[in-house]
Amino acid sequence: MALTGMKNLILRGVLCKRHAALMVIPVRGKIYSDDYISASNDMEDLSKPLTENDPRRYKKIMAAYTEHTTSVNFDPLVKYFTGVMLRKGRKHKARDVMDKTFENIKRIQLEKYHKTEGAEKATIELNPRKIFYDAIENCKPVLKLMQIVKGGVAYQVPVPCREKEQLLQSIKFIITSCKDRERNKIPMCDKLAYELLGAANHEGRAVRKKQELHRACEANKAYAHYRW
Amino acid sequence: MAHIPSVQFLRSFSRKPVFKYNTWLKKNCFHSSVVRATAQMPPTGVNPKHVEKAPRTTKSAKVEKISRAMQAYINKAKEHDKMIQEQTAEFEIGKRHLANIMGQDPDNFTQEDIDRAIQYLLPSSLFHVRARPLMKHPLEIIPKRKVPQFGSDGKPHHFLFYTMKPNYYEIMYKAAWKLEELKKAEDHLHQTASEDVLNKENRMDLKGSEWISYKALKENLQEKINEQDYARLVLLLQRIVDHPLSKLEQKFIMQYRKELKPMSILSDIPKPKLDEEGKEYQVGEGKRKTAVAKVKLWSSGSGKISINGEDISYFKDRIHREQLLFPLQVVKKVGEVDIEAKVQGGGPTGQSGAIRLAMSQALLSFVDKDTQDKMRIAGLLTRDPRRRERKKTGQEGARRKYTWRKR
Repeated sequence: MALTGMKNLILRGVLCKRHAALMVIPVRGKIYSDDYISASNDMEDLSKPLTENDPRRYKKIMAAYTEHTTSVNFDPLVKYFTGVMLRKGRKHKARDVMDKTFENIKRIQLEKYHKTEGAEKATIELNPRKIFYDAIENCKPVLKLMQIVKGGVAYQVPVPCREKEQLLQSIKFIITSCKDRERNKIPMCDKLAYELLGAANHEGRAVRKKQELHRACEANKAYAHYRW
Repeated sequence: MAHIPSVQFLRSFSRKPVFKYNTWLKKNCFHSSVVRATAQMPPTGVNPKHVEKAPRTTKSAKVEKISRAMQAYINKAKEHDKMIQEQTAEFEIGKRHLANIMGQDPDNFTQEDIDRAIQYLLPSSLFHVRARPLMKHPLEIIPKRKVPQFGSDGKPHHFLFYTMKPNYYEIMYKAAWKLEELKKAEDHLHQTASEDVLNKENRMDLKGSEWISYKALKENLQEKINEQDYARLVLLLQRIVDHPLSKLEQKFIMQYRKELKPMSILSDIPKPKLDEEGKEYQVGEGKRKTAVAKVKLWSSGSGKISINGEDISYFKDRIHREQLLFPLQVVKKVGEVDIEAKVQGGGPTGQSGAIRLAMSQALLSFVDKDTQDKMRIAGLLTRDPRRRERKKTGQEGARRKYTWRKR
């Protein structure tokens, strides 16, 4: 509330942006004081000696999160994806779906690998995490549509996407394209595996959704100047 | 009578009754082409003598009058002193009564004895310490009387008195002018000297220090400043720091910075113990959420793990098993140590977190200093203070609200 209230004040010209930067935004439910900084779980980072100005030398360190370990299974993007897929706080289940998805991808690719012969064999990607990264990269939209009201008419205005928005939108495309299908017949881990494999090859519903969005942006490009 | 603020920099010109600030400023700031001139401070003021003894001109026919404000202040001060005297007398009598009630010697009844007696006679179940009954010397409880901020003629000593926050704005004023001078000096160098002079290391080195906190600044200034004021001051000082010639103002800046001490592991780490078979081991305790774990760790082993009599499959989820291996991976001792853990309370997340902390504590005895620091940076030695958030009244849960209904 405090943030949106401040935004309104800025829009109305009561405050300038420099004032807003000075205001202290309260953080709800913050338990660590400002003396603490977050821990590192990267072995490479840990093995380096600390520089003279490194804040970690002088500050207290927060306890490592449950999922942030040095295990080979840890991947920040997979963790983020699981978080977006999560429903009703059932993290265990979401994590399970993710594990099974990777297993499925590996099985499908191995089967393909053994069926093909000759030089084509080398072209088949067997690392499911690489496929996962490719799929997300391929679904990232460059633009998004923003609704802007001018003169009582709402216009769909194409606006460039920030990097973080691109990532979230791409993940949402993949997850929603799995949910459209008939619900109870195919389990989520199978659907997700197919969708990721397809997206890694620029195919499937998720990529098509991205293209549709781009097309819509192209159609509305006449309104692009309404952004200001 | 005078209560002098603890910080040196406040003294600079607030206490000297007759100090022509404008002349000093003209001499040192406005027309100076050299930046160093700003570093010169005006002569530090001497504490004001009793205002009642302010020099009166006997020669002139006109006798200098004491202003109304000063008269009011003197009256108030007298009242205050009288009140303190009365309160102190009352306190002394009360103390003797209390000593008699407790059956102790009234002449040697110390403050500690009073606290103990109050706690015994008036037991309070109130949670907050400040809400409990107390008995202390009035000088410790009653706020001190302020030194008059104006002379006998009613004029304020400080040139920024009417800003309500003279000490704060004095710093702001100085800092702003210092920044201007730095800018001027930079321009001058650009015109005259070659660019190598500017490229030299004239920037401040701030290593190992941070801005003094809002609380500390408030205490030093003894004024009512809000967080916005503090942010504004830090912003201005930061601009001086970022300037390419900031080294010239290092002394000024360092007044508002606090040196940081490097964090290190506790100095007294217990040495490993020996069990009946002559093997080295260490014990550790850890907590997370509501779980409590006790771990016994043998340094030379084959990677056996037992948790409440079971092996690592005590935890069904992969995540919790990985947590147990986390400290071992950081130390690079996977499969080299034996672990026996006992956990109580909480769920799997809490229990695995508690074991992780206990293991890390025990491991400290078997690793060198660098690895200990590595464990600290990995966040293995901190007790996770996060808890379940309570449900609130009028809400469905901790954060979720009831569905809104139009009556």
